[in-house]
Amino acid sequence: MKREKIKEELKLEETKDGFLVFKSSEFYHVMERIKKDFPYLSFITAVHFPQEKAFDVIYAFRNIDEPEIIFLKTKIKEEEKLPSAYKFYKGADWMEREIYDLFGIEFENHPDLRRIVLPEDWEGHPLRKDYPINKAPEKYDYRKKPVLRRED
Amino acid sequence: MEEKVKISEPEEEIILNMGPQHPSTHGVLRIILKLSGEKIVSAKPDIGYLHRGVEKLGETVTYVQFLPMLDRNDYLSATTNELGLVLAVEKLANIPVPERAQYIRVLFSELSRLASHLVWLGTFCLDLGGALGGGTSVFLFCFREREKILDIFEKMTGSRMHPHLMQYGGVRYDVYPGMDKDVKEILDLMEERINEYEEMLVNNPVFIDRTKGVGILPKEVAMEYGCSGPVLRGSGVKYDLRKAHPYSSYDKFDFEIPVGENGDVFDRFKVRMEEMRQSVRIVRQALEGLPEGPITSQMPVKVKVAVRTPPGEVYTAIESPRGELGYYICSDGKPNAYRLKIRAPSFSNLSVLPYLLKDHLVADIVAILGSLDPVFGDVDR
Amino acid sequence: MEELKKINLEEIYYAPLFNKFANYMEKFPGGGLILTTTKKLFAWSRKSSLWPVTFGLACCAIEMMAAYASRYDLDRFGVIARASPRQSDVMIVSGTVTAKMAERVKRLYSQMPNPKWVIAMGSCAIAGDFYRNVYSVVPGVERVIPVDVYVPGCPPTPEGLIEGIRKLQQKIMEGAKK
Repeated sequence: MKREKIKEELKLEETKDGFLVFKSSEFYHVMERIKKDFPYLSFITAVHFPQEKAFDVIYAFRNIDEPEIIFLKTKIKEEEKLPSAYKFYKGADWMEREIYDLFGIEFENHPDLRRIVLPEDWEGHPLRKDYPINKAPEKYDYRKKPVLRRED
Repeated sequence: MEEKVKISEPEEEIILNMGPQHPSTHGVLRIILKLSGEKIVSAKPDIGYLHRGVEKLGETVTYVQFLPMLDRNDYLSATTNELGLVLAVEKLANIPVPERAQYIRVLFSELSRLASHLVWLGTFCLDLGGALGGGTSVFLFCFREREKILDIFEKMTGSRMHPHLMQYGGVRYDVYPGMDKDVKEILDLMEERINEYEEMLVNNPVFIDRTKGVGILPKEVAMEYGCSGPVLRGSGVKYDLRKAHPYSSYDKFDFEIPVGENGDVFDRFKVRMEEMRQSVRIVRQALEGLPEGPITSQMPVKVKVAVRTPPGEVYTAIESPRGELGYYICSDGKPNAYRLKIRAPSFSNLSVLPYLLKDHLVADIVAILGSLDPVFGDVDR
Repeated sequence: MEELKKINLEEIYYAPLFNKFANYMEKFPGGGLILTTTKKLFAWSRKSSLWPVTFGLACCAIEMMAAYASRYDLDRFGVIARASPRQSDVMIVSGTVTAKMAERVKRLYSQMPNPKWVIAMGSCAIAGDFYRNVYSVVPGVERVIPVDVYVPGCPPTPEGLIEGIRKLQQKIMEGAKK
């Protein structure tokens, strides 16, 4: 199994659910190694932990020839930046933009880091835990706008 | 005798805005095109016009409440959406599923795959333009067949499009008496009709001209972008999650994975047509081998906090009609997820659009976009 | 008083005009004459050729397409989809309107020529459905543009949409009576 091989080679820790933890400072080194055996980027996502003021960023890669999936995880602080995986996987472009949009994590060396699903002038990052679900900037908050009626 | 029209290079580039209201953009997509004459220099898709915050919603409501909401996510194949989440929660909470329920899940997933591909074929041909590229007639034919499939959903669950069929630990409804007759009737009809459509389109020179050699997606690029489903298989990668990581007793079924050669629009069309035939095969097997027994291992859900998961993380993926549909759940032991990520197949498939559109003509946009088959409920979530 | 009732007012005022037209009309094959007000005539012709702008947002758009297609065939009601808002007079808002889309919906509506009507199709367009509290969703398209007919359901069946269109036709005819 290539996953075990990578785990030993890079000396990664494993969580109880099978996620391999790596340090964000070793990012390029890890990605370079992963790319050799897992050429398919499945998804990138993040989880916010407001008490620790930290994010878990999760990467999933697939091996197509011998069906196998590998999950990687790294922990970063709220104000920290993470290198972009765009250099290795082109698909990271949109996935990282989505994370930047909804979590506010910035990626270094990303070719075009701007909001993707929300309007450019939106304030805040909705998937953070301290963002209430019904909050919206004044301009986009239609809950407070009046109901229009047809004038007969 | 072949004469090629020479297009003189214009001096300056213009910017053209396509969408979000556009008759042939499969939903609400805006593409900002930089054109040099008719040729596309660069394309920037702008998504998010249907961003409904489903992931945030998934954190605030319980698993039981969230299931019907997922139907609206990828609205062309509601059953597969539910199946993904149901499998993820079952894996995390260790809920067993009776075999009969697994077969019913397979049966309805494949029926919704058929319905979804029918909508794709109809709209794809409609976009290719009038009577020439396949045309309105294919659209009308496809919807005629789709209605018959939806009738089965309606008879079974009471709803045409959003059936809410799955339940944690099984399915909510057993098959109704006489369903096998209804389904077999459709399968016989479909087998005949798929051949008819394919013959009609493949022998149409305009259709061939507009699809062959257009929007070529090489293998390596498809993998880097995370494309999946028919888009990946059209590029010649033999990868199907139903075979690679079988779920819900798919390993007991006998079917093949169609692959393309060149990765152009035509190959993706061929792959989807062949997939429909394979779906018919799977439904037939599921009907014949439907085992007896209970349809759920849990009591019928009456309270919204009925399902709890232990703390932990899980990711499961299924093969939806559009590709790898995955659910990542981070749980802290409550009846709702701490974080719920939906790995949407359309999102990754659409992200390859700027690469594909480069150096094509404006008229090819709809052909390429149609061949990717994005559903915007799925892209924006 | 009874004598007064016997006199047909229409005969007195319209008879010469009526006869003149009738003479012309009878020369046409199948010719006949109907008396009406122009207001009613316009309303009748408007309701019989409602052209919606092709504009789908979410799940309801698929049901709208199903309503155009084989089994339900909206063409029977004179409902033919137009690709441009400038040529259409009904907007069927089919699906969830998000904050990003709301401006576009408003602009599309303002591009449509008068008289124009709006059908809010499905729970999302009526009141936001279960997305109503989400940050990016407009809870009901009525906060962006005025709505004439609400079609409930999630999504409404094609029959539901047809019923909505018939209600709109009724509304147009009733408007002419005032």
